[in-house]
Amino acid sequence: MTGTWRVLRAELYHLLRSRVTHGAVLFLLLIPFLHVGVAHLFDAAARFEAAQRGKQLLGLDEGLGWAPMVEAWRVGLALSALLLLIHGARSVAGDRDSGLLRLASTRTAARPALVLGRALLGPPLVVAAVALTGLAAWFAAQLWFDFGPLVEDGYVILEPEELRGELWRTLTSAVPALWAVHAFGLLISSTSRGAILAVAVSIAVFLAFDLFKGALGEDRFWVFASYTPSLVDNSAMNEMVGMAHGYSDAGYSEALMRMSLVLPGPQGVLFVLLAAAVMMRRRL
Amino acid sequence: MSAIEIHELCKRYGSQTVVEGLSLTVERGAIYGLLGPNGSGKTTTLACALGLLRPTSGSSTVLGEPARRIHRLDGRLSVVFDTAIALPGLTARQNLEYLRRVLGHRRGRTNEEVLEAVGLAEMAKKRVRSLSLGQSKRLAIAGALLGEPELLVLDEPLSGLDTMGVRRMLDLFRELRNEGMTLLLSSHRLHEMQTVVTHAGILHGGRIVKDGDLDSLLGRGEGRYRVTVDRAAEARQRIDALQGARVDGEVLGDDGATVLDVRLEAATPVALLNRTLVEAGLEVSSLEARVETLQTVFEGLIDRHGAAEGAA
Repeated sequence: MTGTWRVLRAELYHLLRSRVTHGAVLFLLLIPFLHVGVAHLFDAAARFEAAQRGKQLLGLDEGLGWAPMVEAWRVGLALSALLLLIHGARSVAGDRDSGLLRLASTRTAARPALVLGRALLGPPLVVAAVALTGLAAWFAAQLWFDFGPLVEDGYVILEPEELRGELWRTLTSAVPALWAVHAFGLLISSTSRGAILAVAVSIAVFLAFDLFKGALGEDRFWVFASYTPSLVDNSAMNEMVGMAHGYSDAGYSEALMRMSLVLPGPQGVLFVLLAAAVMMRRRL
Repeated sequence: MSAIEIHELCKRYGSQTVVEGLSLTVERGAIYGLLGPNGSGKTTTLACALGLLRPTSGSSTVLGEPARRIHRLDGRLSVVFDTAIALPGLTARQNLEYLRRVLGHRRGRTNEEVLEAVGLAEMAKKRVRSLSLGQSKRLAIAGALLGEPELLVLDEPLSGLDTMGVRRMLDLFRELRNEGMTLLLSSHRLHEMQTVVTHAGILHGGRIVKDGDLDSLLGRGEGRYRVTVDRAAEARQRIDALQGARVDGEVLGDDGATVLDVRLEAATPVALLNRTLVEAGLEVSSLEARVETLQTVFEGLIDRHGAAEGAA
């Protein structure tokens, strides 16, 4: 395990000082913030237009901050999934390109440790991505909207506690899937000849699944990637957006919620084990 | 215990043999040069010997550990391959800090000391992206000096370096050896390597065609002479006829016209060879001691191997 911890510590050091990381952090803060800002502009424009026409705006009267915040958070997490995928895909292949893997394996770390150390970086990255995107979305929504109960035509649809509870449940279901995305990138990385190829292949596979998963019907929910926010979003976060708009109060089904908690973790572990097995046999 | 022992190493890719039956031993305290042209199998040999590439057959040990378990050496071995090891987004000093974390301990030389040793002290705060190829190379070697390695393996350490960089690096290698470190250097730059190695193995076509300490490789102590006469074939017959009687030595080769390559035993003065040839009626226009270099030894070996392979 010593080698694994050393690799993890070294990778953390690199991550915290890399300008690419700083750029990614800025990106993850900026996009949800701008998303809420744009929502605010559209909302203000719609209200202005309705006032000019002397009509009442349809929809929620109170609790207007929830929907833009959750929507922006969902977009932030979809971008996070892509960034995690790219990070995982670049890591092993890129370090093989630069000779770092050779150095690590000849000095301190057994080959599986080179993968395990990088895989352990996944959970803190996921937590950081969830926190950063959530913080930016919440902060922006606080600036321009209110966070009371969802009220439409004087009728309380959902209380803030219920929304917070559902949001927590939703985020909990996204975390294992996001980690599995990172682990999937690692697997592609360990099998690839170079970092650019690894990143390209992993993005291509991920997007191809996203675009064509509908063809799998209900079977798509056996795959980890169905639970991450994405372009064609089937994740709990997408359902949460509907809830925050007041369109529904059902949320993600219990069965899918259980599957989202149970399936991605073992799939991620499998990816890491396969990546380690590939590393055992590959030229460094 | 030797620093590195390689026994009957073979590496094949399909029908292509890259390394064939290669055996060598690097003794502790030596600077061993694994020398050969590009494509002769140097990097593959190192990668197999260090467990980075699975050999088709054969085995190796590094500081007593089998190749597949060298990570257990815990920093006693340091390796730099031709590709410079560096994270381009970090500064030179941050790169060394990263490597320290991989290494896992803080004993040995400081970052400043290793940067100073390779002449990069003033570049400590520069991002690696802005360093030249030679500077990146030197940074990689600085990284290899972190900790307390007993054995340093460097693949093509001089490639990409300018004249001053080469000189500094060769001085560093000597200094490291004086500190007790063992070095294994692979290179195709024979001229520079001759000034620093204590032992060498000459690699050609995936095989060691000659190895040993530098003196024996260069034939130092042997009396090798290049003799120019008017009739080389007759001179050769004359020397061969007198062998053991007056002239204790042998003709190693001739060009078929005027030049002979002669080796004399220490007991035979060169003046005697000259007199013998003159008394035989031959006109000796020059007789000069032959100074071998790794380059000439290498060229001779390659010529001989080429001729042998052609004959086969």
